[in-house]
Amino acid sequence: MPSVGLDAVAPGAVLSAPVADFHGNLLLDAGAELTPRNLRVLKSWGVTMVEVDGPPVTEDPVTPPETAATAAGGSVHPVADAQSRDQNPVMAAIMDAAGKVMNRHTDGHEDP
Amino acid sequence: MSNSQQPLSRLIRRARDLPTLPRTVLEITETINNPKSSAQDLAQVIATDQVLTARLLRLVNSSFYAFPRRISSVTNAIVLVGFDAIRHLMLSSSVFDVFHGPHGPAIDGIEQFWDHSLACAVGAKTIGNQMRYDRVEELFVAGLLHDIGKIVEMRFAADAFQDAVDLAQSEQLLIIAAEKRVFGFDHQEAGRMLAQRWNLSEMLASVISWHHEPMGAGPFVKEAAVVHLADILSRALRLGWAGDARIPSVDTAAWAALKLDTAAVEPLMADMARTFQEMKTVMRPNRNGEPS
Repeated sequence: MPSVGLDAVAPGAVLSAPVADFHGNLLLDAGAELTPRNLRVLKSWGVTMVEVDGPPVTEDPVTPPETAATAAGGSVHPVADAQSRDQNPVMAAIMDAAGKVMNRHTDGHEDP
Repeated sequence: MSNSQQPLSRLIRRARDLPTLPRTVLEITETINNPKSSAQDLAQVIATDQVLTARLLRLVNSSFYAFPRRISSVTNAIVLVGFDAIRHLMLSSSVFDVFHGPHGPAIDGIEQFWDHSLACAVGAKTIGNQMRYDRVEELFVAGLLHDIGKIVEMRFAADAFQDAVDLAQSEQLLIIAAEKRVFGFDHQEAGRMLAQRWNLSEMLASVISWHHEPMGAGPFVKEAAVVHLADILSRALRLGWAGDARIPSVDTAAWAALKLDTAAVEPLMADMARTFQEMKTVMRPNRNGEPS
């Protein structure tokens, strides 16, 4: 299936190909369901295109990310241990800050 | 996976094959250790190595030091940053050249691995500044060298290291866990071996040996905790590649030892990410040994 813009993907879609960040690190594997939380996480990591099968795409943009900390509490395995994030406020602060710093870079506001 | 279990003892037996530091760096250390040496004496030694000279001048003119005027002589650079800083800067700018030259490990991702080490170095210095630690150059070097054991593994057991990387990826492990399964030891232990070979300071050896369990670093818990945190921040910011795609959890006791506030994390990471980009062009080694 061709790539589609992340903003056009409806929650519930299933990835037909793995998603990696710009360094090639795996974020979500093929077969993962794009829950609203996973969509926010991918967006916070600068992902703009994904390959999906399952439900058709939507024209409505996905709700903008809240914070990387709340978003990163989902099931995106390679980022940080979900348990450690949930139980460790320092890790939550780190992931929140990382998302904001990288989002600023993605948006072109500053060089990371 | 290849049948390549590499006991640490076997790696130790090959320790005589480990590269030594460049002669210039050793001479710089001797000159600095001599209480009668002057800045001019040290400048003469540094000036015999064009690559080090160029790198030193690039460094002192970068935002790492942010001096208000341009520094154009080695002697001025030495006077401004001090002997200890020169020793650490020369060491750090040389170490990766040792492994990065034509005889260095040919493994996918080595450039990204260097980026991770540099990001950790920048992070350690940034955290040190935040803590008002008075020897931030030492933290920079500690960050740069923290994963040097992985380079040893890459150089002397490249197939097994690749197995560890593959295992980490397939089972979503931290590379340190995959190393233990493939090698029977990890990069902290391999790094300690190299630190002994190179007679690195006790602090550097401790940080290299304990950056994943910083509370075990004895008198250097604070330094190990700084590098532990810098490692995590580098991974969270996706600056470089450490051999896996995971982010270790911060050690709560180590965090407490640093006495940092979570509110400081975001500005600290933003500063770290900015500085990394500049330092990447200043410090990055290249394969032909010429200044970049």
